[in-house]
Amino acid sequence: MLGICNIGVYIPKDRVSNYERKEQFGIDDAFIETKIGVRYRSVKGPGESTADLCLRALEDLEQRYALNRAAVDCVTVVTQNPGARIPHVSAILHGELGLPESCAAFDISLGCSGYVYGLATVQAFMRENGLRTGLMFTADPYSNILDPEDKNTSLLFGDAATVTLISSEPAYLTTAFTFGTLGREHRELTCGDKTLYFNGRAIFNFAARYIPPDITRLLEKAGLRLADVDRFVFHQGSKYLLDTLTKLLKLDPAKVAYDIADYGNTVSSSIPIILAKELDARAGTLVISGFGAGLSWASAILKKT
Amino acid sequence: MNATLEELREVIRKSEITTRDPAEFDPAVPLVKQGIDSLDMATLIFHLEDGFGVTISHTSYKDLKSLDDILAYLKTK
Repeated sequence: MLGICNIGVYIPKDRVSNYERKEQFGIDDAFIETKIGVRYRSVKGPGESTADLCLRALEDLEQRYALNRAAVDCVTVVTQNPGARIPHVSAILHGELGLPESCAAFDISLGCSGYVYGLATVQAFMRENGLRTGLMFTADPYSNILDPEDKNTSLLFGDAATVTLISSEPAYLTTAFTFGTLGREHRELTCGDKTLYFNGRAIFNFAARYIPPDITRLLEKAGLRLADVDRFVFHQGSKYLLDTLTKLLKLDPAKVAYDIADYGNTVSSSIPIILAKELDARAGTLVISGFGAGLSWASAILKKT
Repeated sequence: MNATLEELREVIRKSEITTRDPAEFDPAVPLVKQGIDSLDMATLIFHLEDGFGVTISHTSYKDLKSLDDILAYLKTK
């Protein structure tokens, strides 16, 4: 049975302090800490490419787990900031890592919902084709596209990358998925040219309106109740959004992960960064839910093996 | 739709965006000048949509700054 075996994480060491931008945006410490919930944003080096971030995440994975690269038969990268449009980042990684020629490699173009979509896609692809060892990367360095004058985004997003090892020796199995799309709102989160456009009210409204019922639908599909879930790992949009989802779903705040104070919203990497810690904590049943560009969302149940 | 100021205040209470008594808010003054920040405004409008069964477009949202603005807007719905 395929599932999540291990996760490697890379968060660049360089930080930008939001406290230094209080005057620029007319905000105070309380707004930074209790509303945005991001004190410092991680920023990659100017010469670091998306592939470089992924390679650093793999270094972390290889410190946690004795990976046999010769056995890898599927590599994917979830990104909407690949750097060059051609070739796909997964092909670059395939070459850099010296993976076998029989290994499949493809990218997945999704933002904050990308990790959950990626898990569903890669596991199904591997199962269908008899593959046994997959590397699924996430890396979406928004520092490439942020407008430093935009309060909505320049206080929020951080750079990071992760790699999830999917194999037949899983620590967690996915037992149910739900998906959704609100394409009529696609203009509210875009990057047409070089700069991110992010309609904060639209994205907030979307998440508050669609994610709570989706979690209910997911639990019904899995035959679970809210009380059966040990941990809720939502995409880390902002602390305010996490608090809103917690209230709307009437969740115990202690069960809801919040982890972005010292690095920011890392798009498709936000969920696996937290899951890497959960692998050690080994909660029994988790809900993960990603939502963002598209507008799109995807949620899943993870169960400890 | 003829919404009243008291109904609006009740939505503010339910939205939990402030611990203050909603009756303290001057209806003519923009809420952001009375301690309600942009994130709280998004939450308030979300609860207004639910409370009054309306959809408030992103364009209209930008014009809803005070309680009087909101009441005037609801009259058009």
